[in-house]
Amino acid sequence: MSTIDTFEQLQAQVEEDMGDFVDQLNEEIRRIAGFLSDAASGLSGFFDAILPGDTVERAIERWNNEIHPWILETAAEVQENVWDAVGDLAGRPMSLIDYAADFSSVKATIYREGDLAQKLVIFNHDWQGYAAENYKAVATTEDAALRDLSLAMDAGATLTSNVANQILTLWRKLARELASWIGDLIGCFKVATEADAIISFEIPAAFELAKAIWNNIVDIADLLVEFLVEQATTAATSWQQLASGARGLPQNKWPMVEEANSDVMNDPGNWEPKPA
Amino acid sequence: MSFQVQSETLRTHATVWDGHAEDAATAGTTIEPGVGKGADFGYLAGLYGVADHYDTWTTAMATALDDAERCFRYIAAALVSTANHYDDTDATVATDMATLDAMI
Repeated sequence: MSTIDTFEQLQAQVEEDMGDFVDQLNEEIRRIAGFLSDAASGLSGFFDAILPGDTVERAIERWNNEIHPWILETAAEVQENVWDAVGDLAGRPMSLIDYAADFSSVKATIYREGDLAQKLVIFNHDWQGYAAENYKAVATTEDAALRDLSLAMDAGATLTSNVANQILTLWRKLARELASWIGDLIGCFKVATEADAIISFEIPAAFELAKAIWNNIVDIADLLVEFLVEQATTAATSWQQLASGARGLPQNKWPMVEEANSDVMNDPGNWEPKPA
Repeated sequence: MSFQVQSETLRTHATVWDGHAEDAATAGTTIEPGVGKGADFGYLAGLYGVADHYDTWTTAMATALDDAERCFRYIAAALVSTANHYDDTDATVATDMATLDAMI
């Protein structure tokens, strides 16, 4: 199985697995039906010699009325459940990983620790008064907001890449489990087609095992529960904090320069150069 | 009296804020592809509001970066205007206060 990075690849993989499953299942059905037909027509002389005559008839009756309909019904149910589950998994994790890289890139460039503080030392040496004080307050506020935005970008990058990786992990796990289950299931049918198993009515035992494996696929939603719980708790809470502005930039709003501050700064008369 | 040394300090600060404005503009462009793309989390991950929270946050960040760029452009202009006023040469002219006011 090739690496699954996109939803289309997951769909293609599942489609391939399900196609193989249906082909192999049909082949096994043909083999069982063929065997029973041969037995009924007396072509299997060996069984005629060792088994009572009505055993084959009972096997055929059970195959026609119980086992074959059950196989068809359950196969349809399996396919429907698998595709429903796959549909729930639609998403674009590789795009999310790109977005996370973008957030990280902004985080790395938007803020430089100590840059403003060093320049304000020189500023304080050269300027004083009302406008200078207003400028320093505005500059400090804006610089702190850059730091907060940088932290928000970092948090957003981490949360986004975490979810993306969880989705990819879930996809790959689903594809791996599905292939494994289908292999086990077909193995049960192979056992069921062994002549003595059918004639001696061991078929139900083989099908009980098949049923258990099938239930794994039918209950594929269980595979998603862990992911849902993660989304419902840690991830959702972290995203809620980020979306509400409880983390990163307060209230997620940029601190605009207030009019009172800008009015003071706009008037050159409010700026006082310090005497040399 | 010349205040050229002091005005250079203002110009240095203005350059810093212009740089921040460029950074904010670049950042806005950088994150733009992912803004409002919560649907990329898929149906399952979208449950419990993860996709909605993502959309809310990315949209807010895009707006914040726009606002940041506007603030930084204003601060730089205000500092350059003051420096021009104190240089008081033909080559430099202080920006009209109403023009500065309109920037923010």
